[in-house]
Amino acid sequence: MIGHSRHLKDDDLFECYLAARTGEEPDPRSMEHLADCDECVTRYDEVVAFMDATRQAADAETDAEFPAERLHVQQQQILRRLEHVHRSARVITFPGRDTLSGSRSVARLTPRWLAAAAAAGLFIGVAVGGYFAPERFHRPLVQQAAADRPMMVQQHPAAPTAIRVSSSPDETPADDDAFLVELELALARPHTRELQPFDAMTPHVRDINNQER
Amino acid sequence: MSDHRKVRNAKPNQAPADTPHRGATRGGAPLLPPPQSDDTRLAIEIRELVEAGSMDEARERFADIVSMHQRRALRIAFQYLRDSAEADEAVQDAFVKVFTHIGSYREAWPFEVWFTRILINGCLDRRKSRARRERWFVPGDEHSQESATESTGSRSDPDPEERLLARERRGKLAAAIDRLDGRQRTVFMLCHYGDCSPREVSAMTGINESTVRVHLFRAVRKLRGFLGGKS
Repeated sequence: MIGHSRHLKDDDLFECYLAARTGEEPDPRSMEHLADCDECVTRYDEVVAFMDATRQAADAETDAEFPAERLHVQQQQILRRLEHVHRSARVITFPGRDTLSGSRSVARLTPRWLAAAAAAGLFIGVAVGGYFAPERFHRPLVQQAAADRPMMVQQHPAAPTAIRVSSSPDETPADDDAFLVELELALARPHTRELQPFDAMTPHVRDINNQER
Repeated sequence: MSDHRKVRNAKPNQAPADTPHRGATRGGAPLLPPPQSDDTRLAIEIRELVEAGSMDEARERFADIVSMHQRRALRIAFQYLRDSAEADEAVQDAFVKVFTHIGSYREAWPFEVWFTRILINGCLDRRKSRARRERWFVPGDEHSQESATESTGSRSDPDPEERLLARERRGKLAAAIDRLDGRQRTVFMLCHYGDCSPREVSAMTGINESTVRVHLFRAVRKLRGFLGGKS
């Protein structure tokens, strides 16, 4: 029993292992004991074997993951990244800066001419158009608005005749209203029961016209 | 997680309170300034070149440092992150960061310690952001990682059964390490996979050296218990 109590503790054994690995001075008492006690030597060997096994496993794993080619590639990548270190960011000059020299006025003249020509063309076009087709320009605003309204209806797929309405400039607003009334009636014809509440909520052109009259 | 904070709080360019150059003692052993290692000398040289504006030469020298520490760095990063692509990025980032901040390197620390701390901080950041991601997204296909390992490992281990067993052992070990307390895991990683002495780990983490030893011992004991050995 006395002999057993003299055995080295686990932490003493581990200290011996650490000292051997790091080259430190081992505890002389532990070393003396290890020299005499086979049981502690066996335990010490177990510690060493365990540590070596874990280390070998880690080394093998790292070697498998990072073979020599990958190490080389990584080195190259690191060196490539280092090329940008301590190098101030390159500022790309804005193109406008170069035009400070004599070429500036030449470079700027072209867009100005273009803008002036476009404006002149627009003005002439409007003036000539007004001269040759004055009714388009002098139509009253109300009439214009009324003429525009069928255009919205025109987009409805169920009203192909809307094209006819917009295509004839001689028609009056009364005709437009009549057309809309017709359209509404035509749309109301199926009388789907589920849609009736929505229909009741929607203002109708005919009602508005009736109110105005 | 407290170990993470310890590593995080210590700035890379700040000499720790227990650096050897201050002549402090720990555990009765006098801490004399260690002779400068090759990488430390090289790092000082690179710093001087950068300060002198000879960037091309500095980059050339830095390639030597990369080849010196690359394997070790990958081993640490891979064991920490368990993902080869992420470990690759973490190591690259660490080297770039080191070169970017080489001006703040002080020879009071061995270069290896300084570099490892930067690497570990990067790995911890990545682990944290991964945990954040996994909280919101379904984790990706883990099989691809395993199969990648298997495919690359097939060259060295011809026996499929042996390969399978080795993979199983590695998986068990990784799971066991993951079960360790954060501080114990960091200490174990740095000592065992990073080849750092307890004194160096103490300098990196700011944990007392004797506490580092205790954590290391407990980590090993737990691992042996998890892996079916003696606890």
